[in-house]
Amino acid sequence: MKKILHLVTIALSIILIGSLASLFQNGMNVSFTFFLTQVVENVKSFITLTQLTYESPAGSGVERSIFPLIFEYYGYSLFILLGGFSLSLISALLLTYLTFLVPPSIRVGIKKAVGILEAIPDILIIVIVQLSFIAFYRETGILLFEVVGAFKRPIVLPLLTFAILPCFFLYRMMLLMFEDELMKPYIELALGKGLTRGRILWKHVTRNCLLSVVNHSKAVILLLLTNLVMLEVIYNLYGMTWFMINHMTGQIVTFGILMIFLPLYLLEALAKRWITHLTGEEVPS
Amino acid sequence: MKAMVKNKRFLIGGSFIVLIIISSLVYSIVFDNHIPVASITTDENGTITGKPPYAPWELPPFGTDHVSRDLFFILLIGAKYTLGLAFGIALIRFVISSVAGILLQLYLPTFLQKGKQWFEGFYYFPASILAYLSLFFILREDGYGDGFSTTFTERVIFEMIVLIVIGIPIILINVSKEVAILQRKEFIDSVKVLGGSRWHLLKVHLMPYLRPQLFLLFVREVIQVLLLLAHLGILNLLFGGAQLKTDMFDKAAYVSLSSEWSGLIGTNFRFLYTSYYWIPLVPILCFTFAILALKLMVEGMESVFEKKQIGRNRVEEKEKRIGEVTNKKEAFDSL
Repeated sequence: MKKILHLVTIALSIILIGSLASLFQNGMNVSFTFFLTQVVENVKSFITLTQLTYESPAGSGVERSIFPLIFEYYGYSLFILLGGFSLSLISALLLTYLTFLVPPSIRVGIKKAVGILEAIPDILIIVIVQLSFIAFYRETGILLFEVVGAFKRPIVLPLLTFAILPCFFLYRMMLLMFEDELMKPYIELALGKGLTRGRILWKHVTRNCLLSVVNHSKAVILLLLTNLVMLEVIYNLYGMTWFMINHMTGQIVTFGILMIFLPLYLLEALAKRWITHLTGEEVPS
Repeated sequence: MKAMVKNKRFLIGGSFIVLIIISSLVYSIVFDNHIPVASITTDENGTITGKPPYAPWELPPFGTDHVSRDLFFILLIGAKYTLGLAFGIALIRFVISSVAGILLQLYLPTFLQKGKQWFEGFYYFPASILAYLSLFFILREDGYGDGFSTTFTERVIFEMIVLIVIGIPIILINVSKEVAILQRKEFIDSVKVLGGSRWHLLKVHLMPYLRPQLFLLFVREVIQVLLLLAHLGILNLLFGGAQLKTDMFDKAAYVSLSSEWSGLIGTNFRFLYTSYYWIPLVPILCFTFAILALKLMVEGMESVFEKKQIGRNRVEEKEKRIGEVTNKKEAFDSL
């Protein structure tokens, strides 16, 4: 019950933010009554799922309902979002294991390097990946993956590009967490009991580190979403945020964000419950 | 502060940023923002050996753009605007939200706890989309027909306000979290028992701990603003709106009103898939270098704080060291 209330609060806050941001749709004449009517209208239309329209083709003045078309965009975005996240999580875990195989002196260097790499802007990564694939194609004539976007909706290249930045972020986070975790007394006990290093890392340390990933779910989600916007705009992928950017109205944006928020929130809640079950530690909200 | 200046990473990052801003300012004062134009190069016999646009390897360091202006000088001129904007916006964001955050956490903690939920929507609203939504109609659509109905200064102020406001909630939460962590320390209890008021507590006991943390948050915020500006550039939302001009093919093109970096990305992004791909790539790289320099500063500061923390704990109590590591975790919250 508490969770549902929390969910509704956040959903309402998203609607408020969206309505506030779309106050300027008719120029700079802003009034509070307009804001209130907009909020009420938004809530009404999101509950009844009517009046959600977009202009197509742009500039023609013809309004069409966004259903059922929106689900294609939505599914694709969710796929990239979740697929990219799992890809980055797995690769970050693997990288962390590999890092703990090398001697500590090198590890310090890696840690410093990743701290810097993490800050590379998403746009640079996206642009560089795309340019290098085009260059590779020009040189060899082999098209490794679909590069073009639009209605074809390529899968492999966007997923790979999308996963790079979250991977750095998670990798760095895990490096720090693993080091903290390995200093704790229970590791010594486990080693004393004769458990192998690999087993301790895999079973106990990973479990406790996933806790911290869930702990920082907000930062991770924000990173994923901003990354997604740029990916869809630059690659011209027909996903949810592309739709929002290209059919800019306050209603569509707010509704789109709500649609993305719902599954993410549910997943977050599930992950929290699962982690609590696994480690017995409560995750602060 | 002394320890920070001694830190190599902090020094490198900081001096890079300072160097860019100073050279940009000096260039605008001494050379009055003159942009050199590259001409066709010929050998002794008069045969043409190269013509603009030059690539970065033909005319180092950055080459020229499509109207053969030297990109290096354009970026140098734009640096003071972009970095100045980023620092300015981040500073105002930061001052407002840290004052509000500290006071709310000290005087109205229950109100803050309740109100926090209403800010959580910001974690699901990507800043680039939020900024685009609020700015699009004023800075783009308004100018489609016969020009803007607002003046340039109005638009600039409007954009500044929007960019400031959308960042405030998240920093406010982070600052209040920082204060809440400090409030849990034992000496705070002694201050309270001895009858110190909350203002005294803040001024004398909290600020020495808060000041470095706040500075760290500020530099992180500058990175965030720079990223946001770059994103808005990709979305072709130029600072202060854009003017519709015709380019060399008599096609309509948006022209940024200054050589501000994000505007350079936005206007030139269409060249990315031509053989002149360096024209948009160079400003993106400049953004990257600026952000990496700031990140170096952040890393340097963090390592200094960590050392201080460990040193302090060694004096007090050795075992507590492991517990203090939780501070590291907080580093991720503000991202």
